[in-house]
Amino acid sequence: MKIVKKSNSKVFSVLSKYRYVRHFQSGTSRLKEKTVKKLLYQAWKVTPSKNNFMPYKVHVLGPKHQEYKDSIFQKCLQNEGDSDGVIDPLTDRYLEQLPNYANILTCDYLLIFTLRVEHYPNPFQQMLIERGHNYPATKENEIETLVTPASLEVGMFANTFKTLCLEKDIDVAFTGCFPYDITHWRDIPFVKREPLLLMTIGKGKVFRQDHASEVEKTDYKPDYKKVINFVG
Amino acid sequence: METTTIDSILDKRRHVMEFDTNAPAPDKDLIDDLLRRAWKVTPSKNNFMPYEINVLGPQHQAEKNHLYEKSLGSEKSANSNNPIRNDPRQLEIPAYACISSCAYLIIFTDRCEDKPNPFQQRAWNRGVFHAPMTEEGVGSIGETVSLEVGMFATAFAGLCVDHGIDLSYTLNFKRSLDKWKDTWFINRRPMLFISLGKAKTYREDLKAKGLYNGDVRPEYNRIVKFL
Repeated sequence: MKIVKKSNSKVFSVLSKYRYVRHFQSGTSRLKEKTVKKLLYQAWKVTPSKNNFMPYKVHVLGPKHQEYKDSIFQKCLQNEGDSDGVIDPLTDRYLEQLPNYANILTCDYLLIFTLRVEHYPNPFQQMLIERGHNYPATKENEIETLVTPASLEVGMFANTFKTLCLEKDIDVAFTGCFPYDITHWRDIPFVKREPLLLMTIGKGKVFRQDHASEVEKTDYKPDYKKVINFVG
Repeated sequence: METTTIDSILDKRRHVMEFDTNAPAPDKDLIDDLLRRAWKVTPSKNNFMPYEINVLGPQHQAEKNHLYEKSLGSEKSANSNNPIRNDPRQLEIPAYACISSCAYLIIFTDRCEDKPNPFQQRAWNRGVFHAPMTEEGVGSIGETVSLEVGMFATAFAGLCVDHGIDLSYTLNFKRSLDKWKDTWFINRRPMLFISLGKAKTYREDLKAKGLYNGDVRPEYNRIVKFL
């Protein structure tokens, strides 16, 4: 197999466009729902899943659901406060600049990934179930055991969707700072299972890297060799 | 005119059941370069990247065989309620043959950050709790580590497919570290295996023969809900 390294890898050039969005443009430049739906469909089509269960659901909140977005932003703030023992993070930490996850307030679309139970296994899965296979993805009382592998698949879906968005010059941001406990989500009626990821999309206005303070510039990722161990 | 779209590249990925062991292995420098590119473009919460990626090359056949056996054992254990008790080795292509036949096996595990960057350290000193900075903390954020591994893996997979390299994901293994005491190269909680090389048989080839009939993914509208 002769493989030549491509200097113009399409995938790499598209992925390199990613920049963390602090604020999205708002107003008249909203993304078309049709575009978002098409990209989500493409992501669904190419994202693999263990045993084809896709044990997650993607709830998409469009521009008209600002109240939900405001409420979810408040949950993130509350979560940060609870995690660090700060009563009011907004006044204690963010008088000059809102937290990174404030992109939730200005995004066009907010995606909430949650766990999902499969009540209708496909014919192949059903055959195996009848033969005695155990699939926690189909059981209300076992679905929680899948949080870790389901999160991996959510990461795959989200990253694929991100790549498709970036190709179309649509900006995205991820938020992992929110309460996982479902009891904190009672005012969001469609979130009935543990949330796994928040993702925002739109046209970026303020990017983290463009306005990083000197201190923030020291927030670099771990060296390649700390993460990759080439055993040989 | 540029006609290749990301969608068409990503759509090329096919799950490999078995790799061609007679095909030359992809060059180590290429794999290293693709991993480096994936590392560069994959975001991470608070920039911790709380995972480690261990790469076993072509010379590590014994280790791959060992993981193949472990995966078979895991499947047997998961399906112990099945009265038929099929031996996965008796299948047309034994399950997890992708692990024993691949050129490169990539093992993702979690990772504790013992040398935070200055920004992370400053936040810690101000009272911010960063779970990846303690062993206990890393142990408690399996879902976050897993999610980020999924992101890295997809970026890497896209780069591989773009270079004509086939790959498979394996998630069926024990996550508890207690189960890996006999495996010298896994010292932390495993999250994902990726096997790489040149495909000999894709899962789709078996589908064409009538295996896996009816094994379709859940419909789009059941996964994505527009409100």
